[in-house]
Amino acid sequence: MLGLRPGQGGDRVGYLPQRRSFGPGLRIRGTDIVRLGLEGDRWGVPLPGGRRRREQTARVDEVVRLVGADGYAHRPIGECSGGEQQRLLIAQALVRRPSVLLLDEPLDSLDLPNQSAVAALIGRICHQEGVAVVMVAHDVNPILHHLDRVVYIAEGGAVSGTPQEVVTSETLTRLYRTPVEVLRTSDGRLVVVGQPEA
Amino acid sequence: MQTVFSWNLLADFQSMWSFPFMVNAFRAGAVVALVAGAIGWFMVLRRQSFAGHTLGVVAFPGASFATLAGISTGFGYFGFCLAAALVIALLRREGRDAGAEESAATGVVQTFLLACGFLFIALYKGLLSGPEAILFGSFLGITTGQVLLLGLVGLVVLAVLAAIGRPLLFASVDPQVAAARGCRCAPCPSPSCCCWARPPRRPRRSPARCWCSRCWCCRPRPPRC
Repeated sequence: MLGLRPGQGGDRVGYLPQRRSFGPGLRIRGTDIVRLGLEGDRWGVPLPGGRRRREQTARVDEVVRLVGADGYAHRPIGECSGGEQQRLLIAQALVRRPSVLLLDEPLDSLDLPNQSAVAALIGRICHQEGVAVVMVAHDVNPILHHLDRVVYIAEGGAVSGTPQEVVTSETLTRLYRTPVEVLRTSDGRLVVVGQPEA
Repeated sequence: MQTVFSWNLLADFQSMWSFPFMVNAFRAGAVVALVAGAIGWFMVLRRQSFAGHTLGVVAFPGASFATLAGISTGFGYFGFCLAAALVIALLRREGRDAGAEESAATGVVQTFLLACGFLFIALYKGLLSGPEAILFGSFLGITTGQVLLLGLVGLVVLAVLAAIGRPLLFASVDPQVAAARGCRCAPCPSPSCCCWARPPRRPRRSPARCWCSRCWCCRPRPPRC
């Protein structure tokens, strides 16, 4: 990846694994979780008051503001809701200024407003920070209007291209081997609708 | 010297600390409290309280083996504890059902070692007041040398914890992301390993075999190393 051997470019790839939530008993602040992403793999005890420490604190604050988590980042992460935790985890993946962000089901088990909010956040970050985002999702509707390119994999087949090319009723029906309809709303957004269970 | 407690706490402490064994008990208790406070936080975070309990119990087979073999109990104690800790770490698996599996494995280790302890005591036909003396011990019988040894070990443990604290916290709170950052919880015994916490700056001589904490066995280098 990025022209490097596997295992070499770890610093330039941000990774968000599939749904992992922190239990309510975890008394660690959101900012500390984000900070772990920045310097969690370093040995030794961080010394307070150094220039490096101030830079790191500034970077953590910056990325927390970027994802809009400044209201709850100082709370224990176990007390945050699923959407709030997901924003903090995206901040953790972003904190090292990666070139590529790998997201595995970032909208999994979030409610609808949070789904669209996190999708919009990812779309904004992608353009604002110049990060290439590669994400896996099983529900395409919340992310459809943020996508530049789609690789649609289903039932042993795959189609790639721009959303307008790939997300059509014919292509998806062929891929899933079951009728799928793609509708266009009045403001031009695409919506994928499956058939009700027979 | 009064031997009955009064309402005057200062006088009570003064009379208690006039006995050397009480002073040693307080010193040993202070060392254990400091070390256990730091270690215990990580132990609870990593849900390894049962492993901690097991390591406390392992003192029994350690001490009884040392008595049987005629060596210092300190060697038996620390030897058995380190060995048991390594075995429990070897049996640790990552994954969804890791907790239940690890508890079962820890229980097997604990039962085996307790049985070993009773075997050693049965084989040692010498003067022992009973298994309780070794099983539970007594903090009133601690000598000054033992306090020194305990303090030294406590210092080493705290120093090691300070050195590995951050990666340990990262890998305990967030194992998947920590692994993606190249920071794994299990120690790697091979100096030429490619799985150390930070990827090497320059490519090392590629080791033919690589220790991976995931498998904990020496196997041909996986492609990701």
